Amino acid sequence: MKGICFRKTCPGPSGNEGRRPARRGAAAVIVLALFLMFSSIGLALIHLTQISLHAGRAGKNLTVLDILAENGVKQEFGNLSDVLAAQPFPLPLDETRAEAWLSDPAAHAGEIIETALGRRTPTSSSGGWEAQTWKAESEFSLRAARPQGSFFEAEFLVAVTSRSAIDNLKATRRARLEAALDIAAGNLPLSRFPVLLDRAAGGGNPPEPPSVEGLEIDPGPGRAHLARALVTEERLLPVSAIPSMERALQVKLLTPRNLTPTLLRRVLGLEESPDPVPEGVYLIRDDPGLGGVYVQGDLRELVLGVEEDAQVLCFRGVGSEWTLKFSPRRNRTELTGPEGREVFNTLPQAVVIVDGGIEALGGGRPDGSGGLRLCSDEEIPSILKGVKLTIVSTGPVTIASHLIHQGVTWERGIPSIKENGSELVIFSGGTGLSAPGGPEGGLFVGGDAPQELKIQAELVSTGAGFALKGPARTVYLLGALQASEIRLGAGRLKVHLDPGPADGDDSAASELRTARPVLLVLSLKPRAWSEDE
Amino acid sequence: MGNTKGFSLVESLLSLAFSLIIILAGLELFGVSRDFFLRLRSGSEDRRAALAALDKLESDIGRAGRFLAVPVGLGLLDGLDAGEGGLKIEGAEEELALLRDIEPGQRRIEVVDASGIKIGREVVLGDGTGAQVFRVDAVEDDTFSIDPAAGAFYARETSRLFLLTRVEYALDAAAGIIRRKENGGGGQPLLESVRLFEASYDEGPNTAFARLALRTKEKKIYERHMFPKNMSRAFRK
Repeated sequence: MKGICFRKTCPGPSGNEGRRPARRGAAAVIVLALFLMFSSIGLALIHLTQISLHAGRAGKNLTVLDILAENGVKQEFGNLSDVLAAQPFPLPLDETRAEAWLSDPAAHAGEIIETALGRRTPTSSSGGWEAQTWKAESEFSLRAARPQGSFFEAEFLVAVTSRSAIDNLKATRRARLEAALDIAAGNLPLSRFPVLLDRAAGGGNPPEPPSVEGLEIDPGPGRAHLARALVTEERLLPVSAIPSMERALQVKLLTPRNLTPTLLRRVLGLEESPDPVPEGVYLIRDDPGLGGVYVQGDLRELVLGVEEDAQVLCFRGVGSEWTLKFSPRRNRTELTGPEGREVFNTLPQAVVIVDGGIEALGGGRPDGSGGLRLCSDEEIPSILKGVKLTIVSTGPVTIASHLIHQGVTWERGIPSIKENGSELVIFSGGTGLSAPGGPEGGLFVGGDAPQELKIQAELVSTGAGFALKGPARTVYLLGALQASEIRLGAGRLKVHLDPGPADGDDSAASELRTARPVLLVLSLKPRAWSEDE
Repeated sequence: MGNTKGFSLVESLLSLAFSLIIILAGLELFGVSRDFFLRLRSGSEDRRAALAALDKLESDIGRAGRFLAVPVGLGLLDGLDAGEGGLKIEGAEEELALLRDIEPGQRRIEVVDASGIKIGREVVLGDGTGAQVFRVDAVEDDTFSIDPAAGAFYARETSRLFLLTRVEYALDAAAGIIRRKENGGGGQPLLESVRLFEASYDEGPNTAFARLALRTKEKKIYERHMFPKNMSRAFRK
């Protein structure tokens, strides 16, 4: 036997002959084998640990890629918001272009969105940190276009996608945000602009925008780009509230110049003559029913109030008083004045045209004699639920107390709006009739008004614009303001846009539209988020 | 002579004994290492399974309320609801392209492709202001019947129709299994040997929280805070 083990211990004379010096030491072989075995086990364990590490690293990388992709979407969406905030809205449009867009918005979708953003689409951005990068892109597609007469609203779907990567890693991840971008173009309702400074609608030099400290605008979600006073150099405020005047007077007017004293006297039921209309309050009545109220001359007070289910308007001139009550529920109207009391089983048009100024406009309570007493401190509702009242004046209007709608409560300056369907539109300088000896219009907050005045209205003023008089005070406006000038002095104006009045076919606020076609981005709102799964 | 002398029997026995001791020690060491490795692997697998379950939960929560801003805002759907019984997640699975306007009272809806719609599934129809949830009663080609009937007019251009997906997570405490049920189907086991499963959702900061523990690891609790992006108020306004 020529075994390799224990050769030295083999007895016999030939033991010395079989010895091979090069193969001695079986123990070394065993030790080597054991060493090999343990090394293999150790290496296998180390290898398994490496697999574990790789798996853990891959998981970590995927998480990092997800975060990068999310960053890309957020950055791109933030860029879009910044682009909107930097755009000088409202963007003027020429008539031809506006008409072409209005006739076929879908055919001009690309042009509309690129005009709104002021840049080519799709837009893109990229970013990263060291080996980690992302690329994001926004694509725009027209989802729906809604014509609204002289303007249209277009809803664009914005698909923001971002893809992330890490250098030397094949895997990438994607995140996607779908958003809605609403655009309106054409002759827009003024109430779409939270605060509009029309520098061409004043009488004198173009005014400066109000200070940022004094003006605070909350335009609502998705409208951060409208949280500033929008400024226009071209006149956008209409010369007159023609649709409201036509409703009130029940005549068709192409321009206010058509309203001659003769026509006016006929409308008011007076004897036809070229003489001016005598001062007073007239409830217009015609075959179809009642029209609105026409006031000739200045009013010392116009007090609005709610009495049970009736809306009450109390007109006080110099030495005379008229009270108009109408109840939509009972379909009954009552006018009391120096000439007695009249009752009608129909409702008037809720439009008041004042060819003059209003020295004090505000909310009030019944005074016991059938009229209303102006309440300058009490926060009482003065506009009945469902009533859409428009007040148009030739001269200045001074707001003397709160103008609050039924069903709206204010808590710490923040209005809680419920579906009340009421509206108040005040357009000072909006009759289109010339004011004798002075600038037309002007909307003022009186020196005796409450320290914290609450107004829920759509305010429009040409001429002297909007101004706070007297000591510094805070005005909370739930609605919108468009004026030729905004002077706040040391006071503050906090505007909370109420988009409600602009919606609906019978909206009083939507009757007042820009004199020229413009483009405005109404909102940019995120809709849905999705990621690679 | 000295050079030719081999190991004696005693030397051989001693070396054999030493070799045996070394081999036995090596085997014992190997056994201990193997047990340790298996324990580590088992622990790692448990951990991975728990984390994978949380990943799946996070992925589902990411879809909560997706494209359902209006119905969630109107209170027609929860989007995400967590309670003692578990977790309910609602989201849109796919968009179905409407072929026509939907009139009030209408009970049939025609879409471009209805291949993904099955009887018993729910669809959500809505525009910017209103929404309605319907159950699919019958499917024929690319038309399907709904219950109840449409309650309002939905213009094709401004309305969107989505196939609703509902995912529910619940702990089968007796068996120690977290089950995941999709669209009313049978609950598939997501994670076994579970001792604890809790989930909550706080609407204020819009954060969801889940924690679970396994029977094999008494002290270890796996927790995760999640941000369901589509449930954010920004999407609902």
